[in-house]
Amino acid sequence: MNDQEHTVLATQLKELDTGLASSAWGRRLAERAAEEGLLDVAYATVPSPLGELLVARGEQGLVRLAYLEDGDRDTVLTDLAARLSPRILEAPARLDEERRQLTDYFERRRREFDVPVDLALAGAFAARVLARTAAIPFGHVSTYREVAADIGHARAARAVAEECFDSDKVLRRVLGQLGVSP
Amino acid sequence: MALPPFQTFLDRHAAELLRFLTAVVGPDDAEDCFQETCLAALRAYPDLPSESNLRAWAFTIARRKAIDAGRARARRPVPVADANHPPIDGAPASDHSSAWTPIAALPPKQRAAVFLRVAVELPHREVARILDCSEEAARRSAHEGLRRLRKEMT
Repeated sequence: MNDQEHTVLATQLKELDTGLASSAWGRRLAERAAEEGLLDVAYATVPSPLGELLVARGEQGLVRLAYLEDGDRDTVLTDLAARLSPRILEAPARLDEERRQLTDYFERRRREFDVPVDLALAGAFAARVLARTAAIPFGHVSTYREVAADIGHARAARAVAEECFDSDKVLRRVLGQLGVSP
Repeated sequence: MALPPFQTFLDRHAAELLRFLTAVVGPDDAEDCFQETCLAALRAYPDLPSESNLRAWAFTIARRKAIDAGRARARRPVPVADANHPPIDGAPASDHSSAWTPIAALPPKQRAAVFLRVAVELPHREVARILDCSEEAARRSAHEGLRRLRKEMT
């Protein structure tokens, strides 16, 4: 086989049409992986007024919501792989309910969420802050000091503020004494 | 370096694995084989050493699943009309068996060796590891496959 024949063959093999779209085999793979208990984290993306949102759930419930900018997807997934499990698949069908509720919320048809949430990735303190702040009703605000007092750490207002305002979760229902976020 | 998320691994390697399986087992069985490959990979994934060569590892699993598919196909009854022309080991028993790829006329091991050499551009040493044979045997499979293809092309 001469060089030219070799090149022709290489091109034919590299461009071999498998007749399969990744959306189709990906869906079937996610289903089977879930059936066999091999899907530890399923994720999907949802459009939002603030850009694309990545939604990830584990066996116990929602583990991560993250706004995506260019290249963020890999960062978020790599973090989930390291902290939860590398068995991660894009599986929108496993997140139908989460996606529907988020879309309804962004389109102002919904104010409360009732999907299970798994706070495994939050530390013990953060989990208490999140549980308390989740109870602030739509349209209401609280302060860092109030939240700190409610969870039994009256002097930890600054730590509460840090939990409420890191790069992943900006909790707009909690404010400083002067009514501003840090 | 930790293992990448499995989805990232798929994004990088799935298309190539699917083409490999299509070339080796034919389009009828390729997706089943591919799904079995992915599930086996997913099962073993968390226990892999993080410095593993994921691409070679995935091809090794795919090659094993292709052999399983070939055996399953051999156990299936062959239609009477084809009795005088039994499919080459693992080839689809249809009239179109030569159409899916230029290497369809080769025996499966040669198809795999030719694909890994020519399309994936792996050295004989790595092809041998994937095909679970000696480097010399891998070299022979690729050469013999290419020699037969050349005969067909001319």
